[in-house]
Amino acid sequence: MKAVLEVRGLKKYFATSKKGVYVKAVDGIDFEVYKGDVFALVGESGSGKSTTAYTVMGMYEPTAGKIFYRGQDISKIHWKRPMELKKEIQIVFQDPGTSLNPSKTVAQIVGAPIVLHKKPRGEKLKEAVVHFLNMVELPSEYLYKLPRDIGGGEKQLIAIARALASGPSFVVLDEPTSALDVSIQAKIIRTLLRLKEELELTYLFITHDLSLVRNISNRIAIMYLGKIVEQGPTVDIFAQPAHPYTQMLLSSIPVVTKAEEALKPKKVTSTGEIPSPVNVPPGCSFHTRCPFAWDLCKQVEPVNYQISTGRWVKCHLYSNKEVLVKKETEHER
Amino acid sequence: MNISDIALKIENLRVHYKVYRGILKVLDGISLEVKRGEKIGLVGETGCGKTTTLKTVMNILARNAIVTAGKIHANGDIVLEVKEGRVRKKPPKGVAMVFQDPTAALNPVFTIGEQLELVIKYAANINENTREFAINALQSARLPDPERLLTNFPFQLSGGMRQRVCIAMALAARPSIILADEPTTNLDVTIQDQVLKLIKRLSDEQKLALVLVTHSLGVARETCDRIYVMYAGTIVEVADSNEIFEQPLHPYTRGLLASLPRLTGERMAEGIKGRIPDYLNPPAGCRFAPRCDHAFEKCYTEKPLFYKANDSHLVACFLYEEGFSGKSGEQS
Repeated sequence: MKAVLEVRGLKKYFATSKKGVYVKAVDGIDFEVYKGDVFALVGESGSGKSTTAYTVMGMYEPTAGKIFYRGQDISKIHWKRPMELKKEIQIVFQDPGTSLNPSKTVAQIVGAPIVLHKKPRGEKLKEAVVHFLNMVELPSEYLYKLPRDIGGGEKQLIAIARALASGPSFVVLDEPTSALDVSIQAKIIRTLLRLKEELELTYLFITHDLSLVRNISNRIAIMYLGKIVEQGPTVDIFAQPAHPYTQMLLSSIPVVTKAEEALKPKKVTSTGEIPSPVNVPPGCSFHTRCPFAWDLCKQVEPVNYQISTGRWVKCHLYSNKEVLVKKETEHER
Repeated sequence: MNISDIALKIENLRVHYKVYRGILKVLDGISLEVKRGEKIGLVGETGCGKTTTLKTVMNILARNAIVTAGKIHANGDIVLEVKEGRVRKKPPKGVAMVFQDPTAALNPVFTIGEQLELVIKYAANINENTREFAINALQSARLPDPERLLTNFPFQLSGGMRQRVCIAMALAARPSIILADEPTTNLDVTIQDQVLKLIKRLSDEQKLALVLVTHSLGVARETCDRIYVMYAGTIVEVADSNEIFEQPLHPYTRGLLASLPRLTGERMAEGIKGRIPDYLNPPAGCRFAPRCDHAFEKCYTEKPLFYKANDSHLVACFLYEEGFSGKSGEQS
């Protein structure tokens, strides 16, 4: 199957005030997103997940590496991208309070991409806006409201309607619910999943919330300091987290039932903090916090080891079969 | 129970805010009780009055806030009392607070050492060897290299370290009650886990009473002994932390729990319809009634009292007026 989005060796460095010193926000990542996927990019703050999203959107120009959309090279900044392409890829931002223009009405906000890409006028435009509002289950009364008159959840629905208005097939969701309360989050997530089925969309879902990812995505990539440390099908990763960092993340989630408690890895507890992306530790960047780290980890950066179909781990623990077998039996116990 | 066992007691607290549009009736009779050494969680969504409750205890309410009723005891002192329309307030003794945003809580132009030593001098009344006390305080919060840390400015530290400094600072005042206002909301999950464990360990070691305000049910469950669930300025349910998750009774608590994404991958519920009421004109009866699927006439006109499911489990809902046997089947 051909990938909708293919990212190859993507790097994005930002210059600092010191010459020759760079913030390595994204440092060589590879992944593919297939049609109908909800591909989740998970990581802590500073891991480079949002930078990846913005580079895919063309808000940043990649330092190195390639991004392909349906085979077409799109690794360039947005003003160099063709109009048809921009129509195809849309984004929903984290905080609807700042992503919606406070002085424009809902009709203007949702109407802007329609005017830009489809160019209807007058009544037709209004009909189109109402159509997209209905799609996110908002009544037409919202047309002439300003963002300040509506609640956080509804604002995010409007941001979703705006993203859909150009008729995209690929939507980047950058932490769409992390600014919202849980009772509202559930509704937004339901709406997003329904729209995905109805409009045959593909999502790249950026989040730090692993429990949410468990519920909505089919494939996950875990990021740490600009690199993908583990990637694979959601069910497999939750059943058997391979990378020590994944285990640490999972063990730190506060949960509400005993059944969930049982799923958390017990052996790895959270220690240390994510280092600054300016001074990335040599070797495996996780070795400063890793309970299994040995000398090799401090010197040599691990490559990606495939441990099952579609499942890669960037960790020396999986460099030879013996260790792998040992690890697996430990998990079974 | 002996009164001296109770560290903090809030009775029927009502706080209103005066704004341009009118009067926001935010807190509508909050009562809670924390025993010595007990850890309680105050859980609710944005805008339900969790922080207002803590600020009232600390006597740091905004100027437009009006306390219309209520009484607060802390460590045996009366901190706040409303009598014949007049409010008597005084700053509480032995109560420290940890704020949500450590970046805003620390002064950016003073070093950690200077700030910490001020707390030790004025809040704990220790005038000699303040530096050693400061180092001890930082060590107890498991901060590495405390000597060097004393000379650092807040901007030189990471978010997790700043919050640990704030916790060390709160504890340096030798409190017996600690109020933590969403101490981990701005932190990553792995750091959140460490900070929560630290708070839990320190309050166990020093037998502190802890009030942890949070919007995350999971955080409350992993840290607290008892949980108060708040909705729109009222407390809707109180129970031991295990019980509330296994047998939630109030429709709001149930709705909230059902909306949580689970690690086990069960389907998430639809969430709770509608949104938090406008405090200018809050519902006359139960404040949750307009969003409640089980609401009947009485819910819209009368305020529910607390009904007792067992000694430690209370719920403010008319569904349980006639006992708990028949209704508890509904939740499955």
